[in-house]
Amino acid sequence: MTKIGGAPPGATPRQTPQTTSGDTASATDASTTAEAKKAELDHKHPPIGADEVSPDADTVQKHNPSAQTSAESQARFAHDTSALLRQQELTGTHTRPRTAHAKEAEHGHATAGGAGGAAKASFKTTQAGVDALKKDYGVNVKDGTAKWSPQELATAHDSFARMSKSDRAKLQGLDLVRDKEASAAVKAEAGHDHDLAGVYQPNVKAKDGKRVKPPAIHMYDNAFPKGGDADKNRAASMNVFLHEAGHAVEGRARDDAAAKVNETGTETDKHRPAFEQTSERLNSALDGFRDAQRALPRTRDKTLLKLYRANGKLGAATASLGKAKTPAAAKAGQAKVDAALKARDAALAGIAEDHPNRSEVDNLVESQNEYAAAWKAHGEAAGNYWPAQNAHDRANTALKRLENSDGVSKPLQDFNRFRAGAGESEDKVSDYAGTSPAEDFAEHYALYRRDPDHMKKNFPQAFKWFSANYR
Amino acid sequence: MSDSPEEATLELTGAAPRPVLIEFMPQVRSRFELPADYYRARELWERGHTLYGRGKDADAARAFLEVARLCRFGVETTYAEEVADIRRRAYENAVTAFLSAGLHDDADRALADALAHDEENAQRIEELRAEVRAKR
Repeated sequence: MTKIGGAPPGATPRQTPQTTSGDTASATDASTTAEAKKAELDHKHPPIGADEVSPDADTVQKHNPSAQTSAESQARFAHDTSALLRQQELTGTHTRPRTAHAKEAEHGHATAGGAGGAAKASFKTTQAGVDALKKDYGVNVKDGTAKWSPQELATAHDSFARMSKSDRAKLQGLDLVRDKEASAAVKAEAGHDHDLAGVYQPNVKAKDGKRVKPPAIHMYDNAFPKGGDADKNRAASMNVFLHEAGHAVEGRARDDAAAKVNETGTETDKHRPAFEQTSERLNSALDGFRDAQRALPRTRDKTLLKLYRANGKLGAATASLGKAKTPAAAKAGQAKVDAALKARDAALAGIAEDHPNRSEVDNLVESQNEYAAAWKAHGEAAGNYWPAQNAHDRANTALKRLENSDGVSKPLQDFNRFRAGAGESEDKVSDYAGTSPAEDFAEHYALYRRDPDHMKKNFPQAFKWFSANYR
Repeated sequence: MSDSPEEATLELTGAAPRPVLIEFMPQVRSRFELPADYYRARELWERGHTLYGRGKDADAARAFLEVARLCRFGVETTYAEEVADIRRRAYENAVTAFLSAGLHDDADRALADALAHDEENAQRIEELRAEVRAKR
């Protein structure tokens, strides 16, 4: 999720360049140069509002977000963007672009894969943008509560162009939705009043064995500031696109696995009622079977003893059927039950109609028939239920390989290890990065893709890590 | 089979499988951090299954009731429906386990408590109570 307000993404580290100490002449010269520089910046990027944003300021608190209107939100976003770019210029990132990429980044141009130059995308119509995003990234563009403009889709296209090929694969099949603002439900999940600029929705819910909808990136009006410098506004929008894409890069594999668990789970739901019904019938049949067995006497009668032995075989055969968890095993178990019933029929043929225990024998046979029929029905239902349940078990196992018990994805675990180790000494790239490890990753990712030179200069450890892990 | 060389009784045979618990606990995901209670509920769900598999039905029932209690979050979020569904499944498993242990009164009391805290699942809870009473 990207929010506006707070120190914006890509904010420079807390220290602005200091003049050297001990050399008065050079300090004076440096001071004069710095003053001149500041005056130039005031002209070029005039601060909006009375307060100038510093990287340490919590802009959200200053601006009392609960009272914001959409226009005020956009003004604040533009203010933060202006402050971001002022800070970057003060630290020299954009004053002397050393590479073609850095120069293009200064002017908000997109480059493919973060190095080298692809031309800035331009679409004459929204449909052209829709088609290009589908063709080049497999993304499904949709209007939500707002409509995409060709310019916004061009910014989307250019943003995704900065991602590596393997990262772009995480966008395949994803919905890209344009909304006016976040829904009440999304805001409830965010748990704060800050205006949202965008959000990545995993959408793992399933129904009747199918995922209800694919993962989505929602972009809101706040992601597209109006007025002021168009190039700077575009750079800010690109940051939102790349931030949300960063969430997809980090979490897509895990989220797809979670959706698979839900798909297979809802598939077992379909087979469960029949399976439960047959279980109830079976328990009822078992009661009758046991009552009938108890009624037969202890005996030396060979014809009865033969029936008793057949009865035992039937019990063993149904126990075998009860263990079956696949259609093949159920079929094999049923064959044993059928054979046991045949042996029972052969034993029954040897018992005279006027046998003193004929009534009890007939009750036993009737209860055996119902018991066997109940097992047959249960076996057929199990033949549908257990394969679905086995598939669900496999999906659960697959999900556990992609996240830990707290739901943290493998990529985020790797990033967290970096942040606890080599990256511990570096500041976060923005205040918002401090809200959670997932946002920390997404903010870093966006900066890495949008302005790698700035990241390399100001967050060298993070740059090194991302270069090694996200080529 | 025989307790003397010539005379025998019919050895009682026949069995039915134990009622199967609901295995599927819906996965919930959000872009924002989920409450720690959700992950604790996931662990307890698995623990409930393990206990039931070992024949510790009463303990299993209590584990599932705790799952339902932990999943009283997320109202008005995009995943509110899934979390309510988790609670419903937890009640069903708790009832299955209680009945398997012959603890009908415990099942009824647990459902009465659930009713007081779970309006979304009220209808299903009442149905389960009726089933418990019918099986006394």
